[in-house]
Amino acid sequence: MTPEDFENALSGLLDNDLTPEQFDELQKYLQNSQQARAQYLDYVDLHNVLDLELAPKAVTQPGTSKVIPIDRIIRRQNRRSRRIALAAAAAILIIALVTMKLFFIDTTRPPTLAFETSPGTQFTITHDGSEEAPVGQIMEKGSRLQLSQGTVELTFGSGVKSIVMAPADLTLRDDNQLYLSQGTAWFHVPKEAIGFRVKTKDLNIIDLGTEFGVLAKPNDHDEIHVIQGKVKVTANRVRKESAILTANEARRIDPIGRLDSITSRPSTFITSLPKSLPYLHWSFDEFKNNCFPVDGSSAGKQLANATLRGEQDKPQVIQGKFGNAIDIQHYHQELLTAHPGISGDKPRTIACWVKINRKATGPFSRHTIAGWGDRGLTHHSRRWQLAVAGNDSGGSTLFVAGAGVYRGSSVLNDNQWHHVACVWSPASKQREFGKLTAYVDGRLEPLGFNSQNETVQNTQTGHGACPVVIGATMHVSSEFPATFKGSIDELFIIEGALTHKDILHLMETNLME
Amino acid sequence: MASPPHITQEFVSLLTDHQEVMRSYIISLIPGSPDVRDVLQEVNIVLWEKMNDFESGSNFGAWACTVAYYKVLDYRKKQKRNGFLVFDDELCRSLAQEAESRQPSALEGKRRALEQCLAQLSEKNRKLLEARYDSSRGDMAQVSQASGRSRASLRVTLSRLRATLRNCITKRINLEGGVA
Repeated sequence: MTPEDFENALSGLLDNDLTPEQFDELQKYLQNSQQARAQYLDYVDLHNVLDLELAPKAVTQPGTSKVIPIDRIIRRQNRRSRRIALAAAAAILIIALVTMKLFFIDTTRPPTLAFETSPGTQFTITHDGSEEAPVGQIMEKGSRLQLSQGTVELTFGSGVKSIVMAPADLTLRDDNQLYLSQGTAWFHVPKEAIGFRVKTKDLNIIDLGTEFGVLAKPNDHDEIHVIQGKVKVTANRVRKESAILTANEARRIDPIGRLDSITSRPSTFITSLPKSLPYLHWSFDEFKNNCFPVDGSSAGKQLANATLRGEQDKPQVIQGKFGNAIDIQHYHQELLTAHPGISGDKPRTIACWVKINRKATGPFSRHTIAGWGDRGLTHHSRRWQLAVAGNDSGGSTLFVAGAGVYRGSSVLNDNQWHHVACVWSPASKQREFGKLTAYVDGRLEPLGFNSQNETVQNTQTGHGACPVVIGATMHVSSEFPATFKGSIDELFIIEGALTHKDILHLMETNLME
Repeated sequence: MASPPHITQEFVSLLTDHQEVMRSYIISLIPGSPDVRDVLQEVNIVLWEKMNDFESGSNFGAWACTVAYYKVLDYRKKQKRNGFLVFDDELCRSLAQEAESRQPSALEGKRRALEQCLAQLSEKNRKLLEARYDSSRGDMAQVSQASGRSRASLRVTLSRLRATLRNCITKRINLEGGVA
């Protein structure tokens, strides 16, 4: 091989532009000559520095990122004295882009994270007893954020962004490490911040340049869902299985620390801060593609489009309070969805307009406006149901099942539109009780207990439980249907406990934001 | 991890200093691969996790390159299975031994010299090099199409430009009294 041929071959090799025959010839030449190998390594160095020097520089947001290009740092180091700052906690070196970036953390100031909340969010924040605890919506190393309802957007100094949905409990371990004890969290990690870690009770996740979601469940097995890029995940239990996952892969830990492959569900996570508490809303203004489409911001809302129980039937649409409304009189007109509803003890609100023009069927016969959960009729704490039932004088009043059974007193079957709402606020401290509240036409509705005082709410969702239904029978058998037999408009199911003021606003404007 | 802070600082400093060396090392074993960055990421993760295994004062470069070597071996197996051209094992071993003695200061010297050598290129030639190293503009086929040159002509031009730059860098380093 002539020197010129050799140079051309090396150039082609680094450009991935050789035929198999040319590659073989070059390989033999390199194998047989140490001088050729030395020249090749020199060529590789040139290629490397060209790549670092000429590749496009990444853009960082001024004022939010502490990342500076490493080539600038290395040059500075040679011109002046070396200056490297580290945080007191371990700093993770991020992988260089083509222009090589480096994290610098000031040793004199602990890492911080700023967060924003969506309207209606309720949270508490504690710091680790530092004398100079940060003020406002800032977290530092050791800060703990507990979210009881709503959504929070976290912005790390490294550029990592996260959206976390309540209920959630998270602690900032350092600028590049978050401990997620509970919560549904989505993370976007820019290239400059590769190496970012999330830990849960079950999983240890290292980002390798990606977008991913984590489900940290206190009473169930944690999950990781990779949306884009790559992560390394290690289980924290006995087997400590480890895997590198790429886009559209997901794993759930099992009891002995293996990582079971599961279906990736990116729609579980939300990727931007909503303008309100997460919610589902059915306006009933139009029926298309055989369903009443849902709008709103809750994760998994694509499951909540409402279809008729009788697939061949047509819906009865009438003039509503805002636009059209649905009138449900028969079993086959009942509306079903595939959305599981809000589980456990989480705060929630159901609100809508109803119009009823018939005599009530009796005090023990409840007719669901909207509900989900346990299909049986005895475990009231395991379902959440807003319904109407008869009083002793033929009137229909509100009936709410969830943490007990409650009856209202306002008569609703007068052929007029009424705004109704029921709200569950879980206890904020141990040994306290949660609170169930109802409203009719914007006024607090006095409620009476009609069964034993179960103040624990533990709505069942998922396998075997009734998904969200509208105007529909919740138990399985059709022998005793509990069809609503009235009209419903502007139904909202909200992942949070609305205040009285919020209920009034919703009633008057029909808007969550 | 429970490392005393002074080792952490030293470790980060060494790891930072050796990024370019590790990158060159990896490229030399898997030339032309688009996954050099990913492999380097994985090497850095392993080095970070094994931070406590590193003995202060020992040869960081050799240690890091050993970790990189095994990561490259894994990568080469996958590439081979997928039908890509990779160096055979014997050549890889030879290159690995000869490549691991590079020093960060030498690469830094080349980088400094390159800046000045690039400034001497014509605008046209510099743009061609930028197009080649701009990963967002695609591979050689796309660069060829965008520049209006045939692949063969582009290959020859790039080879000559690299030879020119190599000579320029060597001269500058010799003038500064450094090691090329």
